[in-house]
Amino acid sequence: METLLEVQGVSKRFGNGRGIGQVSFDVKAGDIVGLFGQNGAGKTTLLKTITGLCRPDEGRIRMFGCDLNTHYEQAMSRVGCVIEAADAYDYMTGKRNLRQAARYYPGLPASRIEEVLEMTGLASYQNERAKHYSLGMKQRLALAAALLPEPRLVILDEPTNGLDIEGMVELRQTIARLAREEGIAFLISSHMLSHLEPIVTSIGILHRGELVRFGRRFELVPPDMTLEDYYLDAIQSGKGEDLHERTAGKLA
Amino acid sequence: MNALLASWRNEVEKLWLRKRTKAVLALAVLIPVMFTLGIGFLGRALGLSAALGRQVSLITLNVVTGFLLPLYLFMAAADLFPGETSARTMKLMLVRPVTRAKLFAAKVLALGTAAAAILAAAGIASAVSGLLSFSASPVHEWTDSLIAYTVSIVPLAALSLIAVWIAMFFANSAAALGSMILVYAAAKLLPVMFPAFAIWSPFSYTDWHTLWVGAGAGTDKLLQSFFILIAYSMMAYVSSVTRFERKSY
Repeated sequence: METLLEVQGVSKRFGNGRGIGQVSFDVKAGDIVGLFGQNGAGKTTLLKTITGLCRPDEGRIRMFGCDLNTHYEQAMSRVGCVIEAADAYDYMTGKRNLRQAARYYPGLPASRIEEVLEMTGLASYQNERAKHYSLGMKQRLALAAALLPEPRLVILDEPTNGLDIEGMVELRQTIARLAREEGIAFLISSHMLSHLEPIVTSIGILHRGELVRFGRRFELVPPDMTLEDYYLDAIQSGKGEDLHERTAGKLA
Repeated sequence: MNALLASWRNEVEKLWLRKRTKAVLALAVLIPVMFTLGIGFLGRALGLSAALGRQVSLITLNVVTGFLLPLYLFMAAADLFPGETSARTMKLMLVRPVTRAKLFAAKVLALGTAAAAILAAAGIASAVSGLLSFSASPVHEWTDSLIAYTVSIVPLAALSLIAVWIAMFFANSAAALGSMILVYAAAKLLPVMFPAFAIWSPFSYTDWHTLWVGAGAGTDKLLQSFFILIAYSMMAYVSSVTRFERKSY
């Protein structure tokens, strides 16, 4: 399967010593990668570094074969993102917010804005100013903006924040459908495992800025173990230990 | 090229949607109208209508370039840089397929576009109100006005770029705006105590257009001041874009 995102040895440290260190992983077409970790584990820093909002201290990021550092526009041309929080220009309507984003994609059909508004359930609120939107509606608007360029890779940072149960289920269904039918890859961070557990195909666990586990879910998580137990085990055991060996030992 | 154009259109749209842009445009139109009415009233009393009427255009330009536009450009620069950072909307554009250098250029161009539009509005309003209220001016006065309004964009561009440079040090627009106003006021007052300072202060050239009208200044003086303004603009641009490129959002 085609590799859409390659992260190789990426580090980013801030003045307070926090950040991420030597993170490497790949995302392939159709993957739904769940990036899990405690608050402050480095999830947002990693996603910000991948999308160019932070410059890495070292390492290399490639999207669709293009280096992010040297070919930013090509690398980001088929990427949709919602980073940190679902923000929008409050003084603009939902539709105008999307029109601002659409200008960056010259080949985009004119009907695409209506399509993503329908897809995210915002069609009837499109002419309202974003300042009147609820947190959940802003989250939907941000998702609409991420899906606008017909992306092949979508990066979402805590996308379920502010969504009600119905909205969360709808979001999961939309993500699963887009991955299955259109081969869109998703890289999604969350500190709530249960929000994403039903749909993730690959998992990454960040702990104190280090990616302690990464791989296909069915290869990493033993069948008799929940994702939550696996996560807790990974955090407690730290980097480098082979869970399969320890689990096999326990079973024996 | 598309990314730069798209960013420029977005930034201009953002400025246009702000109420203060429309308010400043309205003021730029109202100022010459008020001057015309005031001068008409005063002039009739003193019998100097025609002579004073010809000055409406330049008096308007002095007010717009010395007070109205600097204040507007400070507010707009504070909005487009630290304002967007604190509102967390800067990253909405940064994660689009556009380099930071182009996004920065688009924001600066949008400030220039707004300044040019406000100058044009003031110029047209003063010409029309002057024409309607007083006798038609001689051709050379029209040419002088046109030159004055056109060249005044040069010091305003330098002023915008210095405002952007100051804005890059702040994370919220109120602090940035306060600092810009403070720097501008200090730069305007300093030459009163130290006249030599006026030559080297880019803020002393907001009335640069006066050197171009009538007998005006010599070519050497115009060139010297032009290069001073260009030098400040280049330094402010390069320093600001470097900071913008390195910043984490």
